[in-house]
Amino acid sequence: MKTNIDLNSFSLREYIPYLMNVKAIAGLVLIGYALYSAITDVPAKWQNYSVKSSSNNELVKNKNQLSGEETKLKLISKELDKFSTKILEVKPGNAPQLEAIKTAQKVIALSESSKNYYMGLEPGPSNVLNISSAVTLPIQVPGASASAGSPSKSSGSGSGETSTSTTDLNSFQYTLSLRGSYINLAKFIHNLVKLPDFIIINTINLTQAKETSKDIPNPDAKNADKPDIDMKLNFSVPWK
Amino acid sequence: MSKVKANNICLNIFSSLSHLELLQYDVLKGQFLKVDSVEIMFDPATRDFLEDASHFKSAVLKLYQRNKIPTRIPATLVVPSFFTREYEVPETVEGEDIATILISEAERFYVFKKIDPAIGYINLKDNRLLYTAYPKGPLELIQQYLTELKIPLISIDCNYTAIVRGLVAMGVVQEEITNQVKWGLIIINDYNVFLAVVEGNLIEKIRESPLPLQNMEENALLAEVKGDFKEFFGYEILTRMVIVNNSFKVYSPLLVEMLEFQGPTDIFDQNQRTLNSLGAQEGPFPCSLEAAGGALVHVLPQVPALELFDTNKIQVFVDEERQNLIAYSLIGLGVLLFVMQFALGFLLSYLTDTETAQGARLQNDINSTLSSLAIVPEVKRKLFVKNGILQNYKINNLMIEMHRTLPPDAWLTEVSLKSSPDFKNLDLAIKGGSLSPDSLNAYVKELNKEVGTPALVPSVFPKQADNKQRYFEFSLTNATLPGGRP
Repeated sequence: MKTNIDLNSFSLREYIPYLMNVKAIAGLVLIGYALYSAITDVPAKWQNYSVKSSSNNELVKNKNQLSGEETKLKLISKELDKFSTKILEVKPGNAPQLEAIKTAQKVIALSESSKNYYMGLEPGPSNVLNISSAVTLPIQVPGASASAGSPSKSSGSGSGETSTSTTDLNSFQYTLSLRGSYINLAKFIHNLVKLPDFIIINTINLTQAKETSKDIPNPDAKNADKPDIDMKLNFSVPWK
Repeated sequence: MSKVKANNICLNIFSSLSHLELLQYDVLKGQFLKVDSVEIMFDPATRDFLEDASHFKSAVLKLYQRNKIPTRIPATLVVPSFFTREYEVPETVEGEDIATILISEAERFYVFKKIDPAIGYINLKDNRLLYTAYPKGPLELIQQYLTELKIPLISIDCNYTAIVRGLVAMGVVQEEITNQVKWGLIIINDYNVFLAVVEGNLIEKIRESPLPLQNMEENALLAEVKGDFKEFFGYEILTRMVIVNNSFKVYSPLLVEMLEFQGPTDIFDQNQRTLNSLGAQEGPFPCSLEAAGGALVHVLPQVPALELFDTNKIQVFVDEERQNLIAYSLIGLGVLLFVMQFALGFLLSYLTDTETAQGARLQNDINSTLSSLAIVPEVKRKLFVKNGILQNYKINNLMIEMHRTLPPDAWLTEVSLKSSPDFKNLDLAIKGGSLSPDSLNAYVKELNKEVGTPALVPSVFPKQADNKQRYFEFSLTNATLPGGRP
């Protein structure tokens, strides 16, 4: 037997009187308030917590990475301390060029002590030695700029290396002209690299001394003590 | 909106005025779920309760409890006709005036001289009405008891229209409804006989004849029914005759024989021997047609009820126990949700605070570590110095090796050493001469041990001096810088 029954509407109608009392309305209000609070408050708090949590996870990663890099860096620094050579330190009020000249004069004195004929010292321009492009650290320092020739990761802290200018060194270039035997000149170079002052040898050009040049050089010349070689030594004296 | 539920309850005061019948009917499945009855005696003349009136209340409660039916389910009541007639209403009368007129009309009759009638009516054709009048007092008492039992009453129908509805619902007159043809209905009760011509599912005309209250011989009764039959149906063309016999006073087959109706005849003997609801063990019918029609009063609006109930008084009773259960459940759920969201919010706030503190600690640690990383520029500077020194050593070693490994018959004329600013390359160019080329290979090999990569590449050119001495000019270079190669 078919009927035209709307069960849903009738059921709802039947239950309405059960909801029309103070206690039921209070319950409904409580449910509504709880749901409203749950919908508005809890997601916001969850979002806040989620952001903090993921941020902390990132910080933990950065911290671990930094700790590792710090350890490596300290080891490297300790290892490098074995090189006792010092960079020229220019005291406040002193002219850097004058300080550099003193080092250059040590070089001249050294050349003369090696029985080389000193011909002249020609000051060149001052320049900046770009350490950043020359040095590659075997570590990736978070927060450092991409100066070490290797990609660096950001820690998000914004700290680390502050500027390349603190890394680079200023220097004066000199061209020293000498004359002497090959052996004496080699001895001079040998003594030069042992100097406690940091001097960078840029170029060395050796040519036969003009007055001793000949079509067929004497094969024994390498053992001769006479000055038959001109040398132009180009070097830099860095300071910080 | 429909007032129908999936389960409809009908309380039927059986026409013998001796039983209150109950039916729970599943409308969707078309199943009789529960049928039952209790004995209650009514006064045929006044329809008052013959016993203590409160007995009705306890009897109804007993019916509901015995059949485990919740009292909140809406119910319909079917009462046996007390006084049912046709009435031709003036065209000018409408609405509530009709009820007033019908009450006045009923009160004209002797039976309502001392009692007030409740009126239910339906429209027939040609401005005629079919109305039923029932004693108002007993009806209100029944309603009051049902109200006290919190049984929501949604309709009070007369048994005649309920029977027609029951016949329609059971499909007995399906063909007549489909073809919209006339069929006859005879309802025999202990106290009256009802005759009706029905067209399709709508009553066209009726006659209700009271029967004497005292015992009457069956033959005389049959003769009276036959007389009414002949007079009422006359020359009506009827395709079917349905006889509903609710009385033991008349033997239905004998009645059929006497009526001499030529068409198909359906007989429904409704009594304690045929109705399961009235106690028959395996009767042919689960319940009376009145009860079935009453349960379907809102399902089959095609057969309108002689509605004795003021539908404006429909009440939805609230079960207090259930109401409290729902209310406390709602409050409990609300409290639970509130506590949960509060606890969750508190937990999240606590976790956020913990994370914030941890974040601050981590940031401090990182800042502390970063401060130690400030030595990076210094380390770079140291590394630069180291590389510079190593480059100087390399130049020194090359100067030594160039001289130490120079073959005895060879000499140098030019040497050029050039370091790149980043110390990564050292360009070397050597020029000289030799009396024999063979020794140069060993010389280059020795030098390359010190030079590394890129290695020196020799170029040798035979020459002749002014004194006719043959010798070889050579050039060794690993130039990587522009212009390095001679």
